[in-house]
Amino acid sequence: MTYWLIWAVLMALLGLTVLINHWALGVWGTVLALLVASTKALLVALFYMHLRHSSGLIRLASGAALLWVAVMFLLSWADFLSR
Amino acid sequence: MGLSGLRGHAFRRAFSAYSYGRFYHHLEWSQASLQLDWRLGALNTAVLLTSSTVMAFAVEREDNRRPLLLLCALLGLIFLGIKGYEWNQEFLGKKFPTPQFEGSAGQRLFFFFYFTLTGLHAIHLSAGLLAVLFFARSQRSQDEVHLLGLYWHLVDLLWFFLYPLLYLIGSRP
Repeated sequence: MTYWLIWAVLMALLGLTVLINHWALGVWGTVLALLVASTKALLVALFYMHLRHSSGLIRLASGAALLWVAVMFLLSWADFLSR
Repeated sequence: MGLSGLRGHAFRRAFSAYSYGRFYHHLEWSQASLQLDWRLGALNTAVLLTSSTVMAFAVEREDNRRPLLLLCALLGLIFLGIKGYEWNQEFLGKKFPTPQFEGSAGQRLFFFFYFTLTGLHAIHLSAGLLAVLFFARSQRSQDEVHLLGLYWHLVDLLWFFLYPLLYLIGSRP
């Protein structure tokens, strides 16, 4: 069953997250951990939240939400770094 | 979808402020983060992603979703139990950001974010838990269960990011 397969991949990625922390990569450890977290989020969104079989409009709306997050981070940081 | 967007709004602002704090207090934040138990955090991640899998099965089912919804709620309760145990340990260790906090100002800021983010997450999870129990009691339409599933997965997704951002800042070689 697909859902169990996704579960196994998610568990493996959780293991990878913990491993990355033990490798002591400094800043890159955080970058990698966030990449792994994003992959997990993508898997849940595509399979468990059925984005894979959703209409283009719904996919566009979810993508727009991510873009919005990026804009908000950019605005906050433009403020902090230019003080 | 709209509800998910609205909830993302609260977390987005918190994450943005978090990135600012971590940038300016990196060393103190990694020391503070090492005081958290990464094993319990990992266990909780596993519990939550398993609950999401159960929820995905429940959404797909045409009838008799009740056992799956109850299992999902049970896993949610286990998550809250483990989280509550951790919070209690941190309260006892004087890690709650009050004037009695033991540690530097930067570390106190970390624990302020830790309690805010995990607290906000736990509130969302509790709301989802109540909704799941409510849905388990009566027959619901496919669309309604689908929406409940979307909310539950969203709470799970947020934890995927909270776990490395809070528990795994400092490395444990």
